[in-house]
Amino acid sequence: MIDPQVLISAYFDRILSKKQAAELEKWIKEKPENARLFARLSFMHRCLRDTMIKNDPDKFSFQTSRMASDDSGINLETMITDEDLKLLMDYEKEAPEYMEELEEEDKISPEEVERRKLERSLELRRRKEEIRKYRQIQNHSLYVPVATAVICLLFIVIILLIPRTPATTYVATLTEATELKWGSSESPKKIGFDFKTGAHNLLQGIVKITFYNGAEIFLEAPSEINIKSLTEVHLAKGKLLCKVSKDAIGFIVSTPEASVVDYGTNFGVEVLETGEMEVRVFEGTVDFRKGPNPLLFEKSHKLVAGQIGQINEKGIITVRKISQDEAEKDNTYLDRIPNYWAAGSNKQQNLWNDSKNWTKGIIPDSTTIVRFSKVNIPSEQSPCIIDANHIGNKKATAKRVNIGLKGGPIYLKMTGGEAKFEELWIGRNDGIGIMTMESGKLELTGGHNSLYIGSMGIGATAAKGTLNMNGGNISVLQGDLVLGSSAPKTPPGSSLGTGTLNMQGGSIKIRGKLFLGENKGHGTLNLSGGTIEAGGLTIENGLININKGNFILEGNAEDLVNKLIKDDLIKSSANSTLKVFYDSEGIKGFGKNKTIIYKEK
Amino acid sequence: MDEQSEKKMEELTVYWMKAQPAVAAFITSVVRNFQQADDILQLVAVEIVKKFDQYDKSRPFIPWAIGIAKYKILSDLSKTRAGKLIFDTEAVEEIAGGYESEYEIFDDIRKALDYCIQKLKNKSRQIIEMRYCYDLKPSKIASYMGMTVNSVFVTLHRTRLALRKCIEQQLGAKGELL
Repeated sequence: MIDPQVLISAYFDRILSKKQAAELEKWIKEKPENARLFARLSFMHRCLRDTMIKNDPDKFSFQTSRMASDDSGINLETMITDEDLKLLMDYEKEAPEYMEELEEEDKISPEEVERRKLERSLELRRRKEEIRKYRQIQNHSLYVPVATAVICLLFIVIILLIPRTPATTYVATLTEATELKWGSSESPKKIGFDFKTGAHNLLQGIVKITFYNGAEIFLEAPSEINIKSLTEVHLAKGKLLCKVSKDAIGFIVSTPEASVVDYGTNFGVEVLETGEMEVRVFEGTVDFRKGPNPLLFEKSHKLVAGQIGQINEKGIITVRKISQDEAEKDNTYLDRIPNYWAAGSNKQQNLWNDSKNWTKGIIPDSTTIVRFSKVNIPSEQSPCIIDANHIGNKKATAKRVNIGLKGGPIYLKMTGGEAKFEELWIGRNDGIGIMTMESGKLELTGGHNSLYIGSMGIGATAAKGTLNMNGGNISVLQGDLVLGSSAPKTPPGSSLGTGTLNMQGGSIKIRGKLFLGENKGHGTLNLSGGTIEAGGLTIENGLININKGNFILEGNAEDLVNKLIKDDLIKSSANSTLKVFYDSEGIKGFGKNKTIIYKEK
Repeated sequence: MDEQSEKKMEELTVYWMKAQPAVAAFITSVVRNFQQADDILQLVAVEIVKKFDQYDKSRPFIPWAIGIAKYKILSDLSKTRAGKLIFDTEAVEEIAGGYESEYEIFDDIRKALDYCIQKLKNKSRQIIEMRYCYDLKPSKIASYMGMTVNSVFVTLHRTRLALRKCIEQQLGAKGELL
């Protein structure tokens, strides 16, 4: 027989097989000393529970960040005798058998699971009803003195006051966030910070909350939630998407009008100001229960993937199919959460198309917002690389790439291959970003906001962006290239965005205009090789230095360029002269109707 | 409330405050689920109020309260499938007997445990918190910690053994049986 203490532990942890349970039962009945030992150990088991939940949750080491590094604690190895270890090894030898038995026990049908849940729910109702009736009897009976009733009620109050769960405790972590703004300072401000149970009001942005049991919630502002426990969140207003893994089955999203009990699915819940509420199931099955209490519900509907359950302001439930439009709209929901660069600076291969380098564990696609926001990761010594392997269906793609957003300096290097983004921001919102282009082809397909270098310094530190163009091709297919910009209404005391383009080779073609120093930002173009071609040119605050290479503008821009040269906004090195030539026939090989600016040899 | 009732309430409250940890532990030892045990504890408390007039004050209160809890579990809970017990009636009777014999040392065990918990180190403390604070099963702890169910179980068991030995040291000769 296995050591009874091992069996008792397995019994407490609810992982005892039927055979082991029978052994333990036999041992308890064998002699009174055994029952006494069981009583002591089970008392210790219950005390552990009561003590742990009474402690200040802040003292708990559940979260790694708060783990104590105290070495003076109980040393398990020295506290366990050789005999204990032998007994444990005996148990471990039997473990495979136990696991098989456990699997057998787990093979119960979904109908049986449902039936048991219903039975449990009815049992809870019955007990509550019993307490309610008892109170009524105590209040109304002519035979029971009023004083006894008062004693009873006060006594029950005392019992109810005994803490059964901690007032507040940590149950989840903020794992992703974009444009984050909470209504309370109590809510986590940064990724990696933890959520206590209680109310959280999301005023702006989208967040991903990962519960310790693995359930994930994507919450979109404006929303008000109350995290009630590890397994339940109440959505008072707003919209959330819930992804529940097998380990977190039974996760509950309650709302003022209904509750959703999850059976391992992906589903979305939305609560409107009017009190109307709907749930959409994308995968698996949920139980949609009328009434805010998931245990004491009035009606329930089982919803499967592709269905929407709704409750209108009159409390009427309807169930229908999700339309194609609605499905597509929700499919983009997850994509609005940014994918952050996650690789460490000591990595040898910081390749863009390595899924391990991204926080979401997936390579960004054309719908993804990409952020490089850490300090010095990726670093100058170990930048994020887009190389020759990023080609065809492996090309680097993203909706928006932010190199150095409120962080940095961040380095990205393109040594070959292809990349296609809607927008590229290098050094944004007080961040510092540096991109180096050696070779390859980069296409930017967005509208006005296509390529911003050094933009919107809103804090004490200026946003600084640098593009070192040594080779390859960049095509801004629709919008502008803005070198140095700030927000239109920059608050007093804010820093300004500074953008620098150092061009030594390759070509940049901008369908829109080249804009230097937008809204008091400052831009510099140092042209010492290659060709840069733009649909137009505006210099509000900046400078163009031309020492080598060609600067080409669409149409006849001779007057504009000559004025800028006269104003010293377009310059060349000392003792050199800049030549401005309008090529209507295309004899210089850059096409017809172009103005070419270059240093005279 | 008259003076006699007030006195009665005070008396009952004092008795219950002392007995509650032992009764809660006994119920938990038989039903295992903490939430379910707390629900039953409330029903037992109601029952104790009802029957307090029948309590013989010349006898200790805790065994009497455990007797009521035992009756409540065996008569009510075991009738439903949801509340099906692992042990048969005889074993539950034996466990109740064990509690009735041992209750006098429980207060000392609790105090010693308060001290010993503080000495738990990182991993064992983390797993104990997950198990007891959040009532997570070993399979869920295993998935959260990236461990196997077996290694979580072994860590839990080793931690309980370590706590037991620490309590023994604290109690000295009083804790001989442990």
